Amino acid sequence: MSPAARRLLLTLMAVGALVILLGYGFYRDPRYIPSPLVGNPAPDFSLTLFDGREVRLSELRGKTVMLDFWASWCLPCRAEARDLEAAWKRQGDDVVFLGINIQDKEADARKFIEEFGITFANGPDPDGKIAVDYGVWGIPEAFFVSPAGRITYKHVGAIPPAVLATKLEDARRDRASAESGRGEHQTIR
Amino acid sequence: MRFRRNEEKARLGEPGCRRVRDVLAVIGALLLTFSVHARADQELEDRVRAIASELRCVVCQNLSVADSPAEMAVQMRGIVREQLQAGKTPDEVRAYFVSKYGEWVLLAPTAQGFNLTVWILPFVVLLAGLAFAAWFLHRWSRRRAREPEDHPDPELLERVRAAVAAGDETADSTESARLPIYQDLRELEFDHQAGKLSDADYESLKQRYERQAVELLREAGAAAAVVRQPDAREPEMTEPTPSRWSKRSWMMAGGAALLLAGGVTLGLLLGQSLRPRTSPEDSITGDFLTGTGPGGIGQPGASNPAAALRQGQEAFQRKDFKAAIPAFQTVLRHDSGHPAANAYMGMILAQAGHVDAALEALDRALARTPNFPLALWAKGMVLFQDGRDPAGAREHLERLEYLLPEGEQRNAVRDLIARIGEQVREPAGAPVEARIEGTVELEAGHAAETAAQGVLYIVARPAGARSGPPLAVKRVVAPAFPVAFSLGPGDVMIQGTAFEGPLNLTARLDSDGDPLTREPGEPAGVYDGNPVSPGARNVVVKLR
Repeated sequence: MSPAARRLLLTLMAVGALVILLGYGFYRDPRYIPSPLVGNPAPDFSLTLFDGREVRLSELRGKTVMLDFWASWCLPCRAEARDLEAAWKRQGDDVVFLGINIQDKEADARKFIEEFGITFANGPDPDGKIAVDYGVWGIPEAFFVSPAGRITYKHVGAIPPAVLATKLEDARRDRASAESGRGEHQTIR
Repeated sequence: MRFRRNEEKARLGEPGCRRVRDVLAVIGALLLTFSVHARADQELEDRVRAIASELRCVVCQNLSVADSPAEMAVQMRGIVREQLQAGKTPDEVRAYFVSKYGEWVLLAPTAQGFNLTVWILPFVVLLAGLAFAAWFLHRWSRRRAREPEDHPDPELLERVRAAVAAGDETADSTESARLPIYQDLRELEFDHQAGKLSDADYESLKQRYERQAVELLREAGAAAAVVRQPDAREPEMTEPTPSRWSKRSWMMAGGAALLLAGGVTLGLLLGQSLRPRTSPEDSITGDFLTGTGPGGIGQPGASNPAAALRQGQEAFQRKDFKAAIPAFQTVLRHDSGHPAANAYMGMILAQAGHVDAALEALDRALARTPNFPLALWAKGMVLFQDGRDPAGAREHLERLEYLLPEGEQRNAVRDLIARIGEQVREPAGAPVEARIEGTVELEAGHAAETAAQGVLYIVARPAGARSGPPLAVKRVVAPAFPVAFSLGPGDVMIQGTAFEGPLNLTARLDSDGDPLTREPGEPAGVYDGNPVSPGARNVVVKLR
């Protein structure tokens, strides 16, 4: 290979590497935050429900728990609300659904619960501590916790009923998913 | 004077004055406490700010938690404050956020593992740049050193001037070989006399060329001397000719221009990729570079779909559809399934009366985002106004109603659903003669598997017309005989044509699915009771 050709090849390789790097940066969704929590123990918290009862996650050990972070102003949360309630009604005693209302007004949240006839436990997280503890950035966000207290799956956005059923089964068997799921979601405020 | 001062002193000792003094002391103590607290608070706030400024806001992304006005950032600052007050070190606080959001949350990545590249690479590039600059300066200074001296040999200079003045024919053989430089000098002289060069330019260029010529003559002399001494080594002929130097300078200038253009382009791109937040959900980045976000500040064009979308939306709101259509088309060229662009296009197409095309666009929008409110609204409206499928209209609008929070918009949707409800109820009581219903049967002798691969066409033509376009056609892919059918106003070929009788009803099973070709032996049938009028029921067409 002549020196000129070698020089050209080297230049092209350097420029090509830069272009690939730029392309990777530009075509990646900068809003998506991969969660380091899946596969790890679920952070414990205590939640005062809208009906005044107190729930502590660690007390639910031995049961499969689905945590759902939502707000009344979030459209995808409205879209999935009835599906979640329907799925909840199909579950036995070994499964707990826990709704965590974030960045919302209590009156709006109560109206939402009433509107969709939600019967599973729900409570507000007024200072966002539980939300930050779970690395929440887009809602709705669902976390599946196995009976052993491990997060097995995270889904950002409205969760399709089929996925919900599959992931509940995975959680029941303490089988963690390799990747988080994504659907229609809204960035939190 | 002294008397008065003593009097004041005496008064300060009085009980009332003592009380004032006590109050002042308490205020002083309180102020001191406050100032100590204020200082402690300030210190804590400074520490909170220092940590928060290293954390990336999860909502707005290119802002730090310290700078972001988002509710989430305020909550995160609260958590930082709380953890510091609880005695955690800044490292522990940072580690807490990393454990929740990953390394992503740090504005400056940690200098470990692959991240090291990010830290080292700029320095490597800087060093490489410095090395290149040093190498370049070194070469340049060597060339300068080799350039002709300030005071050239007067004898050689005289020879050069004589050769230039005498022209080509008198130049000796050595000098003939250097003719280009003499030619340059003669052209310079000519240009100066023609007034194309200023005196100053002429003088400086002439001096430079003469020096170069003198240098060449001197080198030629040295070379000749070497030729006379056969043992001496050949001197290196590294001196570039003037033309080579000028090519090099062009290359340098070109390179510099390219660098400048690259810098300016990058600056413009980055400038366009940032914009002020327009809503709490908005981000300051995206759009231009990533294609995310609702709209950027860039100019609309083939390369900026986000700006085109915004321009289209604005034009749509002005009802300037002529401007809106190309803008949405730009977006759709980039992303044919773009929900918003498809929804708007659907609305424009519906306004123009292209109901089918409008529904296609709206279906594309809903295929990507099934709960896209605008597309749901538009599809509901199109189906409702078209009157073809009020039940479908109601279904879409009910989905929208379900999505919308309580408010004016939801009430409007609810009203519309109520209106559709009335319309849907009407046809129930209305006469049923609008449709022709019945079955198509396949006579024995035809293989059922050919039918399963073919397409059944049920065709209604105005009675009396043997050819020409049919009034209405029903297409059944892979029919399973007997096939029940219902032919009605929704099946007419030309929009707006009334589905009226009397009609001739025929049916045909096409083996390749293409209605324009007809293979021999394909089963076909004519209804025995032709002509038939809409409203007929239990119509049986036999394919033979």
